[in-house]
Amino acid sequence: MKTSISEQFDANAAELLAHHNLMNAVYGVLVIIFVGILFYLVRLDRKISRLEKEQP
Amino acid sequence: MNWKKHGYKWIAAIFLLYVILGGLFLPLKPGITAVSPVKLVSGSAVSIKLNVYNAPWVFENASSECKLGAIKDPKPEKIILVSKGIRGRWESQKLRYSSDHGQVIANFDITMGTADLSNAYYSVFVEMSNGKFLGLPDAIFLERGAGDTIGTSTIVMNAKQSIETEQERFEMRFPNRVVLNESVRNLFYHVPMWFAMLALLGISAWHALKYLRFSRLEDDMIADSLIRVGILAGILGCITGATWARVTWQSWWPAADPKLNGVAIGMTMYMAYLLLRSTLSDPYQRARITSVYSVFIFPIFIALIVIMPKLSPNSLHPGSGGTVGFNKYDLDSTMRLFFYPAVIGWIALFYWIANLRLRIAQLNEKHLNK
Repeated sequence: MKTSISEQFDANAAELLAHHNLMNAVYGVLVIIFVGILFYLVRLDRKISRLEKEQP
Repeated sequence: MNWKKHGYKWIAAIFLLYVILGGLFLPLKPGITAVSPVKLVSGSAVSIKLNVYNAPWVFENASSECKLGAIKDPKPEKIILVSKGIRGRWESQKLRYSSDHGQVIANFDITMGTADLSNAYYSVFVEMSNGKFLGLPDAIFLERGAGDTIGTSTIVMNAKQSIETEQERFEMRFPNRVVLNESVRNLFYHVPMWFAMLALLGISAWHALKYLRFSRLEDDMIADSLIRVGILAGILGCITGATWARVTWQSWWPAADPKLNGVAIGMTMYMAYLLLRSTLSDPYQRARITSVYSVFIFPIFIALIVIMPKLSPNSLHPGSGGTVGFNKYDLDSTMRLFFYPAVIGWIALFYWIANLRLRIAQLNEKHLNK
């Protein structure tokens, strides 16, 4: 049986909407920046700790 | 508090808070995200279906009771097809839309008849009851059907051409582009990484020059800290860019893009800087050699990632050869309100990190001299 135009469209549109909601890319980018900066800060923190230890 | 010394830290904190909150929560403008069919043959009755994202007539978060019969103004009134260079347009006869998805279906009777029309791309517009339009340029290809050669055409001649100017009104919303959609917000997070990297590498090259002129190890330490944090910004720019490219260009690293190739070469040059620096132990020799190297590669890096992509005939990045910049999307300047603070804020934040790195290097130096 042939589905109605509107039903066809709903399926089509749902697929396209799922494809077009790109908000996750924005969250992903923010998380990457946050993790990257955090990683660098932890490294700096370690350097400072080492300096503190070596201090008499 | 010493503003001259700590002011940029406050700028980083306040601007980035503003940019992250505004960039995440400000809605997108309504926009057409899908059209079907994308190819039409004239001479018959057709129905065109559109999908509208953030449609102004849809209640997103209303309860089902509220939804019943409640459709917000403005409502869609008709779908219009307009082609470039033809002073006329096709308008839909009947239109249906749903109030909980932004779907619009309209029936057209498209007959070219004896009118002198050629096959062309048509832009699709939705006219709304408040007189505004939603548009998608060059969305449908219309071609003359085999039997459509006699009789009168149904094209609307000499209609008011007010569609283009309607697009530019200011509202506190981000532009809605077909491929980008919500990811347009990455302009505030991915692009400033590169601005921050260029700023840091630029200041670093300046201090390297100063070292070569005055031979003070202090300048060399500043240059080194800035380069290291600049590379961090560059790596973050690469990874965030790959994430963004995956969803918009369907590839982690589209090799055809000249900007990506330039960045790959440029980042390798700066990695080589780190390697070069680690192999030299005498501080004065190390400072002199790496300063010459960094002064030498900075202009090459600029040429690779800024100038070469602009000269290249095809590029995926906006504002490069063959593509328009983001300023063409951002007709009402809403994005500028966030983009400029984002650039300043991220530069200030990375500069702050570089400052921490420098102070550690200075402490280390003092410690060694004791």
